[in-house]
Amino acid sequence: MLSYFLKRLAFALPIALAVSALCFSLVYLAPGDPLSAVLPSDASQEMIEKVKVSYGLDKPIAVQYAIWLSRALQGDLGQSISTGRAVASEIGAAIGNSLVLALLASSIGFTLGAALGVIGGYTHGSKLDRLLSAIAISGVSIPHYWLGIVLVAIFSVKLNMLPAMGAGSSDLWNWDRFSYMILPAITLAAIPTGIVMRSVRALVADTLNREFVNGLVAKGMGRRTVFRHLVKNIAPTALAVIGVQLGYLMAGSILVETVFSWPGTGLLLNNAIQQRDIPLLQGTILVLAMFFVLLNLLVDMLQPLFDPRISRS
Amino acid sequence: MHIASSITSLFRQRAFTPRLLRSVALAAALGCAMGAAHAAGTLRVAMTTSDIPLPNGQTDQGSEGMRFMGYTVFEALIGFDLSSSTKPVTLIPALATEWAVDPKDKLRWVFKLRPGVKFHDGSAFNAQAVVWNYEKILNDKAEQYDPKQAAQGRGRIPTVKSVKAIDDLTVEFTTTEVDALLPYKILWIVMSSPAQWNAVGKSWDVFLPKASGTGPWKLQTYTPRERAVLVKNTGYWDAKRVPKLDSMVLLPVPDASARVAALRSGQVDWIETPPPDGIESLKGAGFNIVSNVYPHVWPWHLSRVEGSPWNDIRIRKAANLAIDREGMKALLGGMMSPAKGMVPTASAWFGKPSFDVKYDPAAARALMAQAGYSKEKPLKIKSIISPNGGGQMQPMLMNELIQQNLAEIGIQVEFDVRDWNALLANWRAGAKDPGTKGATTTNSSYFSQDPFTALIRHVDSGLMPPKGTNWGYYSDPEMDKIFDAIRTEFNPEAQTALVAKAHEKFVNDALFLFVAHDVAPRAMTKKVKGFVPPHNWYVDFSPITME
Amino acid sequence: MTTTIQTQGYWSRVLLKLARDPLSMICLAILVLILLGAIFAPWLAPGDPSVGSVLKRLKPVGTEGHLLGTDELGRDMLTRLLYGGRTTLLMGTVPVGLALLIGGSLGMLAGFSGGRINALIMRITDVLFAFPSVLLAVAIAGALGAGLANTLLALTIVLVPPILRVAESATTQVRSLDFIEAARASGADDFTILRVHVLSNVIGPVLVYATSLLSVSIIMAAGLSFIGLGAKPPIPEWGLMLNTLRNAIYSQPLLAALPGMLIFAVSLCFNLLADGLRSAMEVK
Repeated sequence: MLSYFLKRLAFALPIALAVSALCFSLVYLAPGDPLSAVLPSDASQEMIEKVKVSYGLDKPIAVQYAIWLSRALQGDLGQSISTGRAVASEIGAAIGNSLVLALLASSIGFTLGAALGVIGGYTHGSKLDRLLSAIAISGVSIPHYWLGIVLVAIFSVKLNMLPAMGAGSSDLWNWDRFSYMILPAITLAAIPTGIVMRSVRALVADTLNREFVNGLVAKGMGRRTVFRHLVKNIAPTALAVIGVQLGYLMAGSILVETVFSWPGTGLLLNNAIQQRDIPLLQGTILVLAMFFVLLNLLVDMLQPLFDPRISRS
Repeated sequence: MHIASSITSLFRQRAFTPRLLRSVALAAALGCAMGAAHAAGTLRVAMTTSDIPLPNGQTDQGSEGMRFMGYTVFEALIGFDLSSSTKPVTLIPALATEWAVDPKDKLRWVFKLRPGVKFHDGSAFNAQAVVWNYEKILNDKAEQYDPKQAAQGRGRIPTVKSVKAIDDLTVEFTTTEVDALLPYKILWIVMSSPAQWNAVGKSWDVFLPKASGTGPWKLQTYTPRERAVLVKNTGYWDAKRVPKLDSMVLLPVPDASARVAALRSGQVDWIETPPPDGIESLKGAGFNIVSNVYPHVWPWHLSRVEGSPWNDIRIRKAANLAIDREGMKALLGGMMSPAKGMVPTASAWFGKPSFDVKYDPAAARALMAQAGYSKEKPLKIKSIISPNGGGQMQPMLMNELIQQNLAEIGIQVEFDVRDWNALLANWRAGAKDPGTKGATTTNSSYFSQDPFTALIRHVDSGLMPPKGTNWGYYSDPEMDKIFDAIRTEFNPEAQTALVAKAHEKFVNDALFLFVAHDVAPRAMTKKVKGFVPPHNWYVDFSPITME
Repeated sequence: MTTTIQTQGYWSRVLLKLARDPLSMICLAILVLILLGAIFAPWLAPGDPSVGSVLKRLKPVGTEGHLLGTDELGRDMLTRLLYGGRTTLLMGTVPVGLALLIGGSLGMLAGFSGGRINALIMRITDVLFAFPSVLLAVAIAGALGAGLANTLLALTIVLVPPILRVAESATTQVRSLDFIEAARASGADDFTILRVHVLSNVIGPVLVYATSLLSVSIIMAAGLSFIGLGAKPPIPEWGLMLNTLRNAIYSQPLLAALPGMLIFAVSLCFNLLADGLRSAMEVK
């Protein structure tokens, strides 16, 4: 077990390093020289010199990367061009909002997807199953930014039930605060619901066909016992799927956060793009990518706890 | 690590406390009605900016930033009289009670300050505070020098050489040249509290959430990118202008359809610049559309650096004749007025230009043919535009129409779409800046309240970047001569005649692509009462009430 | 992943089964229709996609002379949608094609050579995999700036790693099979083995996998345009049209919904078709 953890960790470290290198290179990907990518166009000569030195732009690229990385590890991701604020504090203010939204959306996706998936798996091949499959495939096919617009038009504007944009002002966990999350979370949940449902359905159908289940039934076990075995078999995979989906939601919410003006990292990315604010873009991408790497690591490490077969293989 | 700490604080803050239980119970008692949470007497506004304008004093986000943050929390020595929606807006005393140029030395001005005014932190406003505030912009050796505020303010006061305190309530301004227009410039520079800046540890970053000015509104909450809450300043020096509302919530919503959705769902009470497609249906749904013409122009500012096609007057005139402004007006749901120059034709400054700016594609094509271009052999140009921004009206729609119109006469336009603040940064940096990336037009809308903002700052050869905002590096000795005459003419009528002469030349030489004057449309719920839309870019929020 | 030797007969059976699946055929028909509309847009479209009269803007669906109405600048909506399909389908499918070419060949190379080359290629792939796809696309397109070429590049980079992995694992499985050894023993060189034996066995699963990416690619391409990173005005593109027509959602809801409906339809059809193909491949 321990060797599995260590192996997994040894695999994740170089990946994290390479991911950071890729983020670092974004500045060079941007048209124009890197200096103009990280400075406002009306920067003073003094500011230019300061940035040149602190970024080590006169040094070889490997050294620049080392400087950049060591600063990033200390929490210094540079300054936003458009606001002049520290990129780290911009992300710090936004990431909580994104995380809350992604957690809510993946809970919806997991619960709904698993429930529909189990029903679909049990009724494999029936009309109900086909209907549920159609819903699942629509969930993964729908452009979610469009779904968001349609939901706002119906639930905010027509029915006046839910706020159309923003995250509200409440610092407390009350209905007012929650109400702002509902539409963006539902929009964001469309894809994971579809994905979880499809994998759970396949797993349930597959497991029910397996011999050991038939054996259990033959031994006279009740439906409930069979179901318990079923859950044991499926839970690890379903959790892994939703774990990875959480990362996708965190990182992929740029469109939904834009539609709902939700003040998270996605909206931050959108602002960075609109304002050609490369330091902000770079910093946000780095943090989100690292979150994804860590989450994958966590999912991989937790999985053997649920399913001991994995560490043995 | 900042990020880690804010995540942990996020969870700590959301701990389940009795306070939370109470508020849940309260919300349930209120029937969980949406919007029931906000107090009576609160105006919730959706602005078009992508961020909260910086509450440092000399704010960013263009004129919209000044409207909501600059002239609410802060004030300048001179103000606008915004109390009427029929009279032209005039200058009135604000933090200064009177001012005059020294008849013997026209480079010297004396301003008398209003006694007894206090900043929100309780410290006294005085001559030292005025000097301190000008130094924060003009003197990069001063400890309070703020490059951000300097970037916003310096271009507004190019003729101010020095500011000196004579006594506690008297300030002396010295100008680099005779400048009869100085009062128009002074009104841009607002006063932040030196005592507060010192109290927060001499840092402008720490000052932001604890901002302190002298204005009728106090900053209560500042959450970058999300919201700002202003509350009324009960101790405001002008009792008539103490806000009737308790508070005002400012939300940055750059996306026009999100603004409409927010208004229609009852999330906000007031939105800036509703999209034209929303206006009819908003009216139908029982919202008020409020508008009024004001001194503003929406042009294409043309680059005159070497190699720019706009150095050819035939192309400049052709472009001006190619724009279907009436069509554009229809496009905007009637929410614009076609421009025939930098100021509306009714203005005393319009004069009698010989070049009539109108829609005449045939004449435009003829001019283009003379210049050697046609639809088949088009002139290709790059244009900087922004997707939104204060005073920018509906830039994407309008620019797409211009693009279509110009294509008809053989000018093929490629857009370089930039955020409003980024566009403004380039506008200050000038057409020769590498950040211009080959573009030969920029599209910033201009406030034209006074001769300086309307004409001089755009084309005075002495105001090329970084000194001023002559973005296109235009230079014409004849124009400079008229401007010099305006600056040294203290007689109002003679000054008006000179401004008209400059404007005639501006139009006859087709120095810009003149497109539209804004009418400042806003949409609000019927609950908003007492709002007076003045002929100005700025508005007074003090008389507003909520039903 | 099937490891049996796939013969011509196998593929014709798969296609036959697919052809008997009504849902797949409906999807195929819709896709072909939209594709033909896009290809022949210049001949089919009633107007010019960039010319409109603002006096005739936002006319509802069913207006005389404008079957699907007009957009916010008075341009004919049917024309814009036909031309827009060109851009969107191009932006969505070309990256899949390119990724198939690049990822497929690199994956085969990695699987076939094994050893260090495999390790090198697969570790680089792992790094790209460490990015969620939307984030990687936004990062690359965001740094490069808006424009069709940049979007194509960004999406291709995003799609290469998953295809590469499938190709690699399929190749690795084929490599160990007896018939490859036999071919080697009979004196065939590496290239011949790759071309004749490996390719014919790997192309199936890789192709099927690539079809399942078409839907994702289309949604991402339109999404990038939606946030201003893909096509620039006045180029007609569904994602961009969806964005610019958002303001009309209260006055002309059906009109405003059209571009989104088309993106949805194309993406759904691609997904259902990929599903149909996958289940058709379960024939033995």
